[in-house]
Amino acid sequence: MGPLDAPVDTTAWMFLMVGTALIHSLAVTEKRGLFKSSTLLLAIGAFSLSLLGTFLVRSGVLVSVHAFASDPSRGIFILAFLGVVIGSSLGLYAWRAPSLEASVGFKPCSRETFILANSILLSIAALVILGGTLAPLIYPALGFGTISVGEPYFEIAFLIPMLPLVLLVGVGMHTAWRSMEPAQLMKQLRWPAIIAVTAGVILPYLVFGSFSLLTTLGVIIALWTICSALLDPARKITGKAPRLTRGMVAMQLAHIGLGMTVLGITVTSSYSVITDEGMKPGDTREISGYTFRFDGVRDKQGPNYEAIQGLFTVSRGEQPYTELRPEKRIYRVQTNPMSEAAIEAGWGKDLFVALGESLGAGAWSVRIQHRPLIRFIWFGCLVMALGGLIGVSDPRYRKRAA
Amino acid sequence: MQNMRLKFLLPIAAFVALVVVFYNGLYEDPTRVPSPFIGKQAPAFELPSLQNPAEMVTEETFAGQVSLFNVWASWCPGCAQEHALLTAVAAQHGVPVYGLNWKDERSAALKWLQRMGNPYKAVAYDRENIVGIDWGVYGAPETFLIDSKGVIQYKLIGPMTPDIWQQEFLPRIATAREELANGGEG
Repeated sequence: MGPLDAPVDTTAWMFLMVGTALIHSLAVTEKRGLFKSSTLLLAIGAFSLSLLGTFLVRSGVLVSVHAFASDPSRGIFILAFLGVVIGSSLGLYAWRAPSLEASVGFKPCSRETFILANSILLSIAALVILGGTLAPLIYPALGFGTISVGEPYFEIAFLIPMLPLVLLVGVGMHTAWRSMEPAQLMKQLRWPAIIAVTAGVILPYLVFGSFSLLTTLGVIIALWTICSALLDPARKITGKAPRLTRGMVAMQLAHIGLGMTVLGITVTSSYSVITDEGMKPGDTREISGYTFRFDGVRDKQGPNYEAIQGLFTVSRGEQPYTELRPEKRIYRVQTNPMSEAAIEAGWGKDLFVALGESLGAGAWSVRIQHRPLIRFIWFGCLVMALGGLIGVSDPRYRKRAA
Repeated sequence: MQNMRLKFLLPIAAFVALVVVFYNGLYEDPTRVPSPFIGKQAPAFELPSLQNPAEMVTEETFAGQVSLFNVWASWCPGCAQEHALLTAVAAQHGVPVYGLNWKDERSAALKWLQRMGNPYKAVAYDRENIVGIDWGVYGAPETFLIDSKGVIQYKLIGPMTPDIWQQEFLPRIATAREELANGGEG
């Protein structure tokens, strides 16, 4: 995975977090007339973050690989725009929001509670990321000197609110508005929980042959979310549940997607194998059951570059599997050599080969990677998006005002 | 009731604080990381001269005087931007400027000097970024202020501006020259 670019990638994450909280909070406001002011604040927050992203990246106030120019006058313009738009929204909010509070109650065990927890955890995650992103600005302003914040901070800070959140998603989906008997909820969720824990403990061990606590936890949480989302469709098939509305299908799909993404992240980060080794023509390396044979290099002419192409034959057991052709390119205009990796993408894994440096006498340093389930990360996001699309197509949003 | 209202004012208060931080941040260059070389002896080097490859330029070339060491390249728009100013101030204040032609083609660099004018007393040719790495250069233009003992007094990342020259360079040049004069007497 590429390096994380603090202002660009993290602002996108914050926007996703706050946007997700907004979608859920909006449902409560729509169905129950509750959380009006926090829904409003989340809406302002989500929009503000999209403007903030523009400011952070284009003004040159933070170092970003995506920044084009550090031009204070452009920064001033975006900042003024930001001030007017966000300032006036928040001013209006401070003035009018107090009158929006409803006095409808709900019990601790209810969908309202879970959505509130969802909003809080997502907001915490967004604030923690915001803190990390802005630390290089805030630190010097407070006189602490310069600082740069890297991936380890974001990974840990992100995981702490997200783990309980994903755990709660599976429960929250099956709660009722206003109030629900905890015993009834537990009875409903018995089977998904049993399946998720059993499969989460056994499957990684069976497939990958190793075991670690954090990986098991990640896989269990992912499977738990997926199983819980599939509970109502399963009951529908067996004739035990009433009709599924479009909104319910949307929610189930989105949560299945979330589970898939979590599964992809967990498995990829736990079971990826990466090796860097020198290989001579004819050498073979075996990685996660795949045999990579290096057949040497050849010269190749591209339209605007010259390249050295590595020839690799991949086989699985005795069966030939694929051929990979990573390149080392030198573009004619910009003479820095670029490594062009060869990737064999599949449902269950990606195989990746890249050429490093020539070691002389036909030998090359070669990086080979096996990344299981990496496509699940993106595929899960697509499923979430599909859920979102089905959600917005719900006819209940098409009602005309009388 | 007063407390209730306060809660709703919190977001805008936080936002105003952020805007202040952003506004200040705009005038702070994020790439301005304090150079670890300031106050230290300039790293030794030996490079062929841009104009005459047989001749070598070393840190000894600018010893015994207060001088500027300017990192530039013909492909660098910031270098063209600061060029006229650099030429003018160097002439006006009698500060010798030495150049480090960085990651550049010799012919392109020579053409650039011909077109723009040459303020440099000598230019070291560093196509392979050898000296650039030793000196912690991470982009052109950069300008080092080096005192008579060869100690780096200041480093500017980015193009020279009249303000920076006035505020950062002139006072330091004056101090360094005073020390040189006193050192000469004592």
